[in-house]
Amino acid sequence: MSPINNDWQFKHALDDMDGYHQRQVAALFVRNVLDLNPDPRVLKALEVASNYDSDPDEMNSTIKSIMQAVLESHARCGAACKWSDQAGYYVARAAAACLTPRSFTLGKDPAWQAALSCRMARTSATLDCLDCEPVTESLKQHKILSDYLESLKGTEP
Amino acid sequence: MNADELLIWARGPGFDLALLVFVAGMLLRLFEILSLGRKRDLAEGRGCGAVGGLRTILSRTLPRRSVFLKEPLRILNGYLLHMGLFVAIFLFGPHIDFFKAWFGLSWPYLPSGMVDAVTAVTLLSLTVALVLRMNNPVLRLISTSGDYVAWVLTFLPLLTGYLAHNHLLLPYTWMLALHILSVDLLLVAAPFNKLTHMFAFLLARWYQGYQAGYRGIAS
Amino acid sequence: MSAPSVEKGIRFIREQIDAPVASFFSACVHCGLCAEACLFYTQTQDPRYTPIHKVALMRRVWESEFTLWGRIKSALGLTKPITEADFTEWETLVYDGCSLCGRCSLVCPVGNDISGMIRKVREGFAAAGHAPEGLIGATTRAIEIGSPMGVRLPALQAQIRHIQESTGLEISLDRPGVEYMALLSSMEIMNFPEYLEAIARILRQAGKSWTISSKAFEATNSGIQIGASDLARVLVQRIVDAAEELGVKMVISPECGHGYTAIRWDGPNLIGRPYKFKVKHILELLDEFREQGLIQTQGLEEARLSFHDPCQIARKGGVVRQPRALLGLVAANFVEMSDAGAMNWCCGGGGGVSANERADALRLTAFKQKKAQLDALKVDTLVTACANCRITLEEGLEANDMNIPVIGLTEMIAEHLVETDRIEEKSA
Repeated sequence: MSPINNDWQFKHALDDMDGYHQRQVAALFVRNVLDLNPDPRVLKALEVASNYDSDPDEMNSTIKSIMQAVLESHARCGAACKWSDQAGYYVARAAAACLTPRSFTLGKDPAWQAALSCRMARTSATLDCLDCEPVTESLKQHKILSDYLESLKGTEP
Repeated sequence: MNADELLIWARGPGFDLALLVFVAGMLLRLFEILSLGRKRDLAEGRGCGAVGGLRTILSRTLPRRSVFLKEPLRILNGYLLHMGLFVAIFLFGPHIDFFKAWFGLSWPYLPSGMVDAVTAVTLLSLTVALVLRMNNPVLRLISTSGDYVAWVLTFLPLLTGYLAHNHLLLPYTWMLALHILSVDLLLVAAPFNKLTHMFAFLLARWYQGYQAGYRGIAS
Repeated sequence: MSAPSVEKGIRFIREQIDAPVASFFSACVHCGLCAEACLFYTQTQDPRYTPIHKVALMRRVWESEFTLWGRIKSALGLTKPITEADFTEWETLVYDGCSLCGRCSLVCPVGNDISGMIRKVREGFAAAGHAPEGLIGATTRAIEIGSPMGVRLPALQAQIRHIQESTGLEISLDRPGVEYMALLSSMEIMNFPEYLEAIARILRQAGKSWTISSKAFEATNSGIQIGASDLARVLVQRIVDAAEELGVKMVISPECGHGYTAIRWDGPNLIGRPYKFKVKHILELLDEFREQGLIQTQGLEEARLSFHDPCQIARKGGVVRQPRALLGLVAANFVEMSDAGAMNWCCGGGGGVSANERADALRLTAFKQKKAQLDALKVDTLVTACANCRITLEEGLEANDMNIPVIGLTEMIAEHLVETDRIEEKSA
């Protein structure tokens, strides 16, 4: 398979994946922005998302705690925005997307949702900073997905 | 002054004066409200303000379902009270004779026994209203001395009328004189307390309904 | 501008008293039924949250200055003057314990617009220096930066870039001569970027030209919430100037409740003239597109879902039919709450309550009213059309251990939109 170079290929590659692989690759996207939110609940969500046979009870409690993390980190109406904090919100949202049932997201692909939130996280982190590098999160995600698909070739016939 | 003299004064000069204060006072109140004016709504409308105003004047007579279910007693008692007052004031034979003598207008009336019963119920209803006002925490908080004054002013003519008609407590002439005096008092005081709602509710409903009708929103 | 003071507060209250207000006070019989319409009262049972009690200071000003009897009493020294302590006591009732939802105005038997009076009396509280910190901060940022949350243009540009990159849709800033100018709420820019993507997709599919003004992209108006008409006017004027400069035919109000009230109803009255353009809420516009056959949808949501009517959009905005018609396109199992539409219960976060940190606990208590409505319905999903309702609902649901996702209706329509000729497909 040729490497992924644009979002169209990226999205279609994600569309073709089943739920488990979507969660796994979504977790990889989030790991790439983990520096923006050190909340242990995010890490926990990624662990559970990457695990093939997570216990349903553990899954439910992790969903609950990551949703809490999302709500705790969002900007409140009328409060002064701090984009560095907002980056944390988007990381939490991305981690939540890895686990959220599709019925909660209008059937959107979890990995695509996670990818978009990770990009927003990276962008948010640079908004308050004048001399930050331009954001290239999408390019990084293309590479993460390419590598992941490549790695699958070795394990699955 | 004996009972006859008091009665003659109360229904003669006393009533004239009270009616004058009532009419002038209510006109003053109307002027106090209308003279404040209001700004034209410059937002683009969706409908007709006047239609909305008239609609709300009628529709607000019925309670919203969800509020009715929470306070059925208070709301039903409110209807009872107002309908009872209407019957006692306007559908009692001697009152209509009095209006005819005064204004030259008359209309059919109910048998006095029936009006008597309605009056008794209305007195009870007013008592319930008072008990609610004194016991319900919301009503206790928002009530002012004016509310209790208005209650007494409304209660007295009903009570004295009932007693006079049934020849109770005092000789008839005395009680009738007190009845008419209490009406005089009510007329004099009405423009200066919450009894102004007898006309102001039309304005209030009109204003809210007008805006709602113009904007195409619920009222 | 003079410093806040009690005198100034009273003067501002006095200036708000017009014929309707005088008729309302003259008609009030202190029946207390408005309390039963107010979620802050029903959920706390604290009589101080009775709506008509919240405007007690305005009543005192009216009585002592605008009635003969009151003037006589004042002349005789029988009137208690309004003091700093009064403003302090009523501040939390007027701001924390009222979301300006307007439900009380619809149940008052004599027809008093109590909610409208609370909005007016806030002018006095703001002038007296008795507004909550959160709202003062939001209003200051709105005036200085252009957004109550301090969202600046680069943030919006970054979000636009994201959407363009990931969808191939074009979103232009400051394009003159287009049909529509879209507004956004800061909440949408900060928390819900999916709204902007949704309208970009829908407007493209409908074949409409549109833009966002770099000078006035913010729809919210903290001046309205805090009760500072002079500041509210400045915020509206920015939008009006931008829209008239670009020559658009219509301004689209986003999924924000009070933003719609501000631009649709208050705006022209604040600037003192009608607009040269129309204003519609996004749901009104989407429903027009539906009627005109400009948008089609595919697929149905199977989840049992209900719609939370934002107060300013349904009760005070008259947009009740449209969300139902739109949900009819995409929802197979739509159910109505009790008291839906114009009589819907507020989420508890409107009118600046959610921006007022001091009111957090009270807001979550008031949320129990919404919880009761939802408990009776047992829905899987809740749909709404206001970013602030959405956050308030999410927080309330979470606090009550209710696992129900909250989704914006515009986003839901966009997800079911039949999109022909998608640009991203061509770019492949």
